[in-house]
Amino acid sequence: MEILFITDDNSLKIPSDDRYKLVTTPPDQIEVEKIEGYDMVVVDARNPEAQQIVKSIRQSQSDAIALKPVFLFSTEEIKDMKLQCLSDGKTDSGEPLRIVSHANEISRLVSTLKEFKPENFEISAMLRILRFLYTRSIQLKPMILPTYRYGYIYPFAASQFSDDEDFRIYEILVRLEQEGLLMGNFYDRIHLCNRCRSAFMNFREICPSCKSANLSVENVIHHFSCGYTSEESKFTHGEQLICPKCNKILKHIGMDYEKPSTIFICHSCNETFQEPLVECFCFYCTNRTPVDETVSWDIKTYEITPAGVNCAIHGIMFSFAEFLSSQLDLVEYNDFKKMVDLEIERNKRYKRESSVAVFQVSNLQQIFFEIGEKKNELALEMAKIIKDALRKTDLISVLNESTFLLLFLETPAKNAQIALSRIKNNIEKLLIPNLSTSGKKFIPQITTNVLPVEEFSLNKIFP
Amino acid sequence: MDNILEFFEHTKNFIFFWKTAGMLKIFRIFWFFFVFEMVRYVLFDLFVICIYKVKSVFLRKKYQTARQMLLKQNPLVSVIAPGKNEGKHISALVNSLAEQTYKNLEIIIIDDGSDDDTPQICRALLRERKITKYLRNDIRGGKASAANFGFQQAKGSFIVHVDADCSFDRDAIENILIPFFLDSRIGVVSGNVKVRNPTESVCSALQAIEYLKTVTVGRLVSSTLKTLRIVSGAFGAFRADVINRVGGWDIGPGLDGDISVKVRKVNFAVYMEPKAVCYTSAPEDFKSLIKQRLRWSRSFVRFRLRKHKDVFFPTANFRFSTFFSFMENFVYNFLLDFKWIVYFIDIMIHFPTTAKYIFPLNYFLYTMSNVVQFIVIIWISERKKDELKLAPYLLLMPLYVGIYMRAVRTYAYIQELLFKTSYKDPWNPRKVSKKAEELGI
Ligand SMILES: [Zn+2]
Ligand SMILES: [Zn+2]
Ligand SMILES: [Zn+2]
Repeated sequence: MEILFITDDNSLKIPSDDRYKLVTTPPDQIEVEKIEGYDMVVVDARNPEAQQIVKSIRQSQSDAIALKPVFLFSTEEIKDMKLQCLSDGKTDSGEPLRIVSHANEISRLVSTLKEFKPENFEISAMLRILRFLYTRSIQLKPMILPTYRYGYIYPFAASQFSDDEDFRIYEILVRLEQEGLLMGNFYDRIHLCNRCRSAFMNFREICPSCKSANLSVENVIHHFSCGYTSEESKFTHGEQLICPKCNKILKHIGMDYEKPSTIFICHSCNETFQEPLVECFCFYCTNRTPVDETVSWDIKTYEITPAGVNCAIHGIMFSFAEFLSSQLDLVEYNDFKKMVDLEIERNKRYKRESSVAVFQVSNLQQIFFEIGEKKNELALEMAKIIKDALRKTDLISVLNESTFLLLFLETPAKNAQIALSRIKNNIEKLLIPNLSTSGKKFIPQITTNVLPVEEFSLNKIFP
Repeated sequence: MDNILEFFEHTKNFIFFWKTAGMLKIFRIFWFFFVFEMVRYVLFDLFVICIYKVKSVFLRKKYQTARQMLLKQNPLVSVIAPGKNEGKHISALVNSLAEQTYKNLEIIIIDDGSDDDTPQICRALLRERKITKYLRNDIRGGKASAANFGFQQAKGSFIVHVDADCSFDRDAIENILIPFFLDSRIGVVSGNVKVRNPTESVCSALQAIEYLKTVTVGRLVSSTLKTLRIVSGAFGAFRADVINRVGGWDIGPGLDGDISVKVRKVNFAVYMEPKAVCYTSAPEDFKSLIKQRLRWSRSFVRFRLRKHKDVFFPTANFRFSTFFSFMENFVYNFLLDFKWIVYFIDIMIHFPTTAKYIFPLNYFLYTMSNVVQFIVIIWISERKKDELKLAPYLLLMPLYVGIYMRAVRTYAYIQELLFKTSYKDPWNPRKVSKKAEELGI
């Protein structure tokens, strides 16, 4: 077994053994492509570039490199949690044997993986996550990272995306769960800025009238004998409580007076109120939103399902979107949105109606997995069903692997709904007989929704 | 057939009896009606209403100027609606306030420890910005406390106190504010409160007529004579500085009457504006009506005769109009209630055999006086057609006013005089009543 040890500490001597051969390289000379030739990699965690090195291994195009067993070397506790999550474990000079057997187990599982060329980036990222979890026999766990904009990070999954795209991780995990390839367990719920999706927000009570956070809260006092009821400060004279209406001294709570409620006072505009608004201020983009308009998102721990293991081994991830694009003219989402906007303008001028629709098959991967060999044939049939239901002028766009957007020109929502139902029924008719022959019963989970084109937005279109 | 003949026979006897009796005897037997009821409630009211009508013709120009002044100054007006468990009424209230021609309003609902759906309803209204403020005390403090709390948080230079189960004509707030610009001595203006549900039951129909008689006509008459001593809690407008001077509302029941008297005591006038129309839900069965009226009548003893008894004596701030007003109230509502017992005994002793002729004529006379009063009502009404529909119920009015109301009132007076029952009324929280009783207020 050959081990690549990446360190610039020349004084370090990890004893060689007849079971493994150690090759040492300083970090600045490392070439990721060459890692493929080694059985495992040990990275000196004391090196400031350690995280960057491990990350670039995990990001490699090739599964053989990205899934390589990578261990960290350190005699002390490793503080960098992200680095730890990206690696497979830790070693110090004393016990290399334990990691060797661990690395062998990983390599064994990696060797069971079938060669697979993903059609696109999304499929590739999905498969990479499944394969990582399968070869490590671990769960994908969220980790708190205060400097990270979402607060929680899945380090391995995050390494598959560039920093400005990392919110897609969450969407991909949701899709893997919908497909039945991962099983999610609730871990926490986070609230994100609805503009920039940052979790770094300040929640505070504000004045409903001037929005200032400069508030104080006071007790309300009710003086029994005269009925005067107002905030406590109007009664306060040093240590004493004196009623401003009748000048009596309030001596005994429950006998002379009571405190039936509290009231907020705004020091910016002198407004009084009992129910302040709660507002979120985003430290990233300075966006201010009411708390109920923040994006709430469930953070989960994910474990791979038996279907996910199958998928990981065989790499049977079928890009229907890719397939569809060979059969139909698909438009990019941005172009689709432009066409929608144009259509709204046209409709205004010519007084006509158009509609947009969403068509989603949430367990598409599982369906194709179940169908097996016949998948190309059936995908062709599905593409034909969609094609037949659309006119030449209608547009279709792929939002992600399982979600398609349709623009029906000059078609009122009612008629678009008919076309959409036809697609749904025909696809179900096509798939269900093919699915039930495999023994287990899978029902295609198809959701559809139609809106008049004027009401289109991504938030609204999902029912 | 026999019955009809019999009825005619009786009627003939009846008419013959009174024809032969002569005017003097009629007067001897019905002196009570002629001296008190007819003079006071028919002739006098008619006379004062005529004065009011003539006066308002002369005042028209001044009234227009006052209206212009109101619209030009456009002062902030706080509508405060204190209440407990009024959830089902609040949307009607808020909707009618949203429709007001006068727009510079701040609407404050004070929830005095409701345990119904009031909080949910009010919070929703607050979110929709249909109300300005929702104040809630988790512990009930009583109506005075709630009204004071609302007033303390109000910013308007005029305060309109409304009951949560009321709703308003579109120009009601505008109309109730105009009098303040007619005369700077006016501190409070009473609205014209009518019954919203007259068709629900006989009970509410009778109350509808009663309100028209006592509020629409009665208070207009007192207002014209400058002796008005009560402003309905249902719909009354106050100058905020005047409320401040009198220290807000004191412990009820009857706090609306009480604050009006306090306003009179600091030398401000109390005015009634018939064009400011408000509708309130009246109790629909006689049992709940009794409960309401016992409370009102007890508060008469508690406030008019006990708390504000000083107005009967020549003290430093003695005002003749207030004295006169209290005296009239005392005589007509209190003394005469006991007098009718005396009257009944008098008839039974002196005319025992002719009683069967006396009571029908008595009923007839009272019905006729009600008819005349009703004509006056229709004359000044802004909804003549609707209100004419109440006419058939006039036949029952002598029973309602003469027997039912009088009995309830008399019972309440005795209760309060002897036992101070109002302090046991759960209308106020126990802690408040206890304190009030200790202090004798
Ligand atoms: Zn933001
Ligand atoms: Zn403020
Ligand atoms: Zn006090």
